Amino acid sequence: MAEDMQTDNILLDVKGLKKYFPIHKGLLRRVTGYVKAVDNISFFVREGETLGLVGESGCGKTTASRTIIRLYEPTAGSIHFKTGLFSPDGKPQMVNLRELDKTQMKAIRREMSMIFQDPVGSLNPRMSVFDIISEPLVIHNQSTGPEAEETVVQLLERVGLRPEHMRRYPHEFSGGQRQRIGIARALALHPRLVFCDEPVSALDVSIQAQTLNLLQDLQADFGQAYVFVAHDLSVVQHISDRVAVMYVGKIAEMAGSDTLYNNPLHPYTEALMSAVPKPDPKYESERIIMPGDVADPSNPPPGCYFHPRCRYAQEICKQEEPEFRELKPDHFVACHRADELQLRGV
Amino acid sequence: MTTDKSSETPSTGSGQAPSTGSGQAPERDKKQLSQSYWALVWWRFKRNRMGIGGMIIVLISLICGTLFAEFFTPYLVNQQSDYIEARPQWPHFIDPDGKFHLRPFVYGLNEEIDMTLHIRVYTVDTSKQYPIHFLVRGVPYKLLGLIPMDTHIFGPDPDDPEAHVYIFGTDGLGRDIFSRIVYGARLSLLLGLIGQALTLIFGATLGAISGYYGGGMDMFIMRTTEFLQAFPREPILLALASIIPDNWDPMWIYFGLTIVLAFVYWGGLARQVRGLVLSIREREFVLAAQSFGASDRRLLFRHLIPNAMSNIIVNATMMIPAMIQSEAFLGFLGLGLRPPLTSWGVLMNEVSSVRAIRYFPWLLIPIPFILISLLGFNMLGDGLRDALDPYSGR
Amino acid sequence: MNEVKETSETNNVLVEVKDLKVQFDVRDGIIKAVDGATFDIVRGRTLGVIGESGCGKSVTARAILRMVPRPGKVVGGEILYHRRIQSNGSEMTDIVRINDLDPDGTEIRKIRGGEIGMIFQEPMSSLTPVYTAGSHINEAVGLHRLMPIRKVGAQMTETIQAHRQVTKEEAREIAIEMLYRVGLPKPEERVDSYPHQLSGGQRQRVMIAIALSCQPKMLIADEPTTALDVSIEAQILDIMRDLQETVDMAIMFITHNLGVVAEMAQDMVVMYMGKVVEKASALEIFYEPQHPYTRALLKSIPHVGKKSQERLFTITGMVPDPFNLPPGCVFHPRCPEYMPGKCDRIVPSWTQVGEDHWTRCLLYEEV
Repeated sequence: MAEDMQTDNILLDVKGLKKYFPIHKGLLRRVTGYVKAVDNISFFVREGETLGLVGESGCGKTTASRTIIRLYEPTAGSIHFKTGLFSPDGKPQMVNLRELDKTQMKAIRREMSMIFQDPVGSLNPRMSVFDIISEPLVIHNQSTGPEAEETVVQLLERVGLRPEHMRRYPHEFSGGQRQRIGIARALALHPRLVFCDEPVSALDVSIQAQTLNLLQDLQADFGQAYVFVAHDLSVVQHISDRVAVMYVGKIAEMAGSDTLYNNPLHPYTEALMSAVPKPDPKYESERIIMPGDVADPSNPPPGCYFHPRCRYAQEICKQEEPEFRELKPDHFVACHRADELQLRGV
Repeated sequence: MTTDKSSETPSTGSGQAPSTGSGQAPERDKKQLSQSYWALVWWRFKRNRMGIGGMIIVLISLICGTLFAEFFTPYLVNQQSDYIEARPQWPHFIDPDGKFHLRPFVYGLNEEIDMTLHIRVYTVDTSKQYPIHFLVRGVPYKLLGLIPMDTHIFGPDPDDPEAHVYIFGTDGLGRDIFSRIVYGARLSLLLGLIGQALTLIFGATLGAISGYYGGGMDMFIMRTTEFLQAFPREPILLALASIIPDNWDPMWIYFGLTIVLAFVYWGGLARQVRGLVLSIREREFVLAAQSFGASDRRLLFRHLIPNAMSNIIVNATMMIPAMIQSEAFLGFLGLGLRPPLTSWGVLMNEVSSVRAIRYFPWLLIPIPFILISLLGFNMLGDGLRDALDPYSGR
Repeated sequence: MNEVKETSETNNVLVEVKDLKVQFDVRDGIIKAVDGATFDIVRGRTLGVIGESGCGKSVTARAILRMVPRPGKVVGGEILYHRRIQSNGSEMTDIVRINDLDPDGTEIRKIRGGEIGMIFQEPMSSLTPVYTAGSHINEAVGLHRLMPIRKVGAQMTETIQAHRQVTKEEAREIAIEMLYRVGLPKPEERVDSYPHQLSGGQRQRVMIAIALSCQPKMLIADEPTTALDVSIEAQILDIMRDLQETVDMAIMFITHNLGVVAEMAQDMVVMYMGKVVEKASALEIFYEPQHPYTRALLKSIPHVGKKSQERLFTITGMVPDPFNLPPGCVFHPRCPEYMPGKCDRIVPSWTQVGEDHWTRCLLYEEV
């Protein structure tokens, strides 16, 4: 993507998004605390680009994508999505998804969809492949009967399956094929934004490659934007134009893919990339080992969440939460010492 | 967290479908592929011997007892005779002279009075031999209440007015025990089935609503079931059954009893269904449907209930024996169904005195039949559970 | 049964696997889970076993400990364990034929845990029936799985005492020492906690601690870090490397992650559909792969840091149906260098292509 700073091709603009899950304890199930799964994140996605959301367990990346698509109700924040559905002349405008009622939200769901991680659990075992893929069409009364069949056949072929497969059932397919069915389903209505929630994590290495290529090809054909959620840094770097690194509900750093990997500004990013095992026996580089475990989202450390594991931590890091700001053009980071540290890229 | 990719134990049944591009692996076992979930279930069920055994028992009981009882018995259910509390007449093939007869026969009975005990006893009289005829003309009846017939599967010689074949003996009114057992199956099994159907409709629906909507409705329904289930089952059955007035028409008593049974048992099923719905609701395919904007109705009927259906069916099948047992229990105590209706419970009632057990032990013969039918349902339920659960080993 | 030989100085082999064949007899047919695996595990070095699902790597590991689950059984080949013993003042090597041992016998139980340890992907993943019956406690302990309802310390001391002649107090001391060595903070407290009170990474460390507390000569690690976060994985790999140096232990590291194996292993073995298709040092596998599958696999992974390629190289087609294996070379339908007429008819044999570099491919065979 070119370094254009135009804001009028922004498709999704998330500001201050929060999703807290209450913790109930005791006989009367009083709320004793919150799991701050998503804690004040802001990012944007441009049309047709791929934003990678990467992080370890508990960082909130899956929750964030599910909250944006309103499978979970956001606790706070705004989610602006560009659509022409509600303007009288069809001109696209930014609509705050949180202000939509159920009917309007259902209309929006035509333009946003999601691909899930688990090839086994994401398809209803009682439904045929045809039923699964055509379900979005049916829900939105888009097409029925022979028209629907035509659409499904095209989708199947586009993802590399055969038309006769639509009479079969999920249990007859391998993991990679099931993911393709899930992809076909997600694209049935030609959405403009697709959330990919760890779509290749459960697949074998060689199938991963096939699936990633497929996702890229489909993007070239249909032009949808992806929010690609994963924990595998190499996969994310490969497929994303821009990447946001999350840690315990917050975004630590967000930048263009190559920039992030070569010139990180946040110590967590640096440590994470150093921790990824490189498939090269000759690679010699001192590993930065982060001590301790990933912080607990229901009881995060004070100040900067990362400070207990950060080797550059100073007094201010233990007390004050760092602000998420744009330090360089299109390079955002939340760290008190970001402008003075010289960090190592991959 | 990543799913385990390194599971090496090969799985069969989940076919490795032919590859996408070049189809080099030929389709193995076409019968198994391209099958809906239920077809697959049936295919797996057929291989489970216990389930098939259970199914056979249940089918036999239903066909012989519930549907065509009149055909399978030599006598009518309330047909009285002069042979009061007669001992069973076992079929023989070899007569006192040692001759072999192809057609089995029974010995006649002589009535005597035992002066010390003051009861009637019957002794075997080998001089009288009554051959058993098959597909014989007998007392007329209406098959299924519609078709007038008079053929019975076996019975005494129709032209011999003296002949009588009481395989399992008779009761206090001279009625054939064997026939009464078969007729009893009709009402008892039907009670179990209808009662379970009611429980299913009522309990499963409430459970599903409870699980899906949660909140206040869930709390209310769950607390209600907990309250009801806190009572011990037998006393509640007794209490509710005794509420049914004695003077009601027997058919109304029957319906009353099905409602009583459903009332006692719905709580368990509701809780199970609720649990199922809660767990299925978290599965990713439900989330996917929600992400496309599926309506509540669609989620419930297209996704949640079909996936819960298998468990519901298994649970329902396994509950039927409990209902049959409850009916027998109530009948034994003289509650529930009463004469002139005949059910296994009523038969049990007739054995409820020491005198009966001591002098006429053949009145206990219904018991193994009850047990076999209970066993049959349990085996069927087990077989169904194994066939419906894809993760139980194979 | 066992041969006893003099220990030669240059022979550092700990376990020899020769042409191992394991079959699973299932209702629909026979699955050749492992079909001719040959490799050595050397003291003090790590052997990486790489392959995708269904390639047989886990079954191979279990075969070494006579733990192949039913309905599988070893139907061919040999597994030789070179045990060093002191005899008459000099060091001899006792060669134990593992495939001849009774899977439930005392001989293999002595080896399991005591001489060859094993750690798994997730120490507390499944509450299988094995863990509930008291009679199987030894089994669980022998396999170094964590039981959810008993304290960590109790399980550790039991394992330690099963394999070492120590008292209960001594065993507890050893346990605390091992927990410290694997980097668990406050080991004196941790030893009294329950498995569910620990995080996944901590549990994995406990597993390693248990495995190492019996001082085995070799550790089989079956995907030990697959379920862990990257930062925790880095820690665990570090610990394993440190400990290996300290006690001169051999490691058989099974994974599908090429990055991990590049870091950990000096020698490597690549498996596909039950066969070992290539065996060489890690350097040679990564820099001079000979088998087309190895080459394809290496090309199909995205590399962090390298300029993002436009498209990933993919291996066409899919893993074949285990009941309908292709004739000849089992990889030929997907092979970029398929030679018609040869690869679909002749089964390639184990060929040497370099000093200590072997492969199974007709490209290197005279046919």
